[in-house]
Amino acid sequence: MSNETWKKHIVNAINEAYDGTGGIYLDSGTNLLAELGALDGTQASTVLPGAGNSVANQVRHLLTTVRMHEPQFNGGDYPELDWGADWSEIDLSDAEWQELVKTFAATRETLIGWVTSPTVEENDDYVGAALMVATHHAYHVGQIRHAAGYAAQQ
Amino acid sequence: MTATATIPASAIKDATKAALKEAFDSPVGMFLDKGDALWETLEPVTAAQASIPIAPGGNSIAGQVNHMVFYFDVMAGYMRNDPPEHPDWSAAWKVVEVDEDQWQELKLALGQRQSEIITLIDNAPDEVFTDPDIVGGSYAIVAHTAFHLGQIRHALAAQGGQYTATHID
Repeated sequence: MSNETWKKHIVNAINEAYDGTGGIYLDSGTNLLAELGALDGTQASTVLPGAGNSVANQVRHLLTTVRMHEPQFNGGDYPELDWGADWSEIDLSDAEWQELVKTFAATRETLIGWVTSPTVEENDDYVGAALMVATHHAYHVGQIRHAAGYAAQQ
Repeated sequence: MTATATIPASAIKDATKAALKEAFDSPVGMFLDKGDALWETLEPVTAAQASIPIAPGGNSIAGQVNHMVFYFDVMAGYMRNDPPEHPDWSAAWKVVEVDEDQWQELKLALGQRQSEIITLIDNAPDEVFTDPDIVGGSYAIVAHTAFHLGQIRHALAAQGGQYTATHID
């Protein structure tokens, strides 16, 4: 099996979640980071009626998920994570929101580095973790783009 | 840690099938919470709910499902080494409103595509599963399904009712 073929698709899917360059599930020209950066703190913190969460909640959740995955690639103990905190009410200033977007943007290179690391042990856990993180991002990009569309109109 | 030589094709196939099962049928926590799979999400949705535009003038859940059927057909073409020459992606989004019969037919069509893709993966020998179109097509369907499931669940949550848009782990 060519590892590189499969890894390339996982990396493409990860890239897609950030700036749409993967070409798997977003239309050409879609750039999530640009869409997020165009929101202000109030818009990003706006809870979509019925959905019970904001774009900022979703982004915070993805950051927590990245932290969860690190031991699967690098070894070590799983960190203690407060998943519920991701979804608690949030009220960010413009600067705080832009900082959150910047932090999220940086996780792209982190994830790709983990997936493509020459020293990672490419066992079943690695395959599952790589597939899981790329797919979990895709699921939330779907939710974020829906929520961002609403928030941008507020 | 030390690098190993290659990932067995069987590991990729198994993980891909597990992810498809998670997305469609029964989550075990790979990326969804229990009860959040596509069929669990769509089963109680009425044609009227499926016909509500997600945004004014935008697509509906029925449109999303129709697009997923179209995407499956395109990817299946690649996996069979018979890709469509000029797929008309916009046509798939022309479906917005459906009546109950049309909604049931759409779901039936999606179920048929799900079975077809699983069969294509199962029938691909390991040495064939190295083909970029097959390994790429099969994962693309996983990611694409996850993306639209996220959109559908968020749209349903915004409509009100018992849906939760997110999970907590």
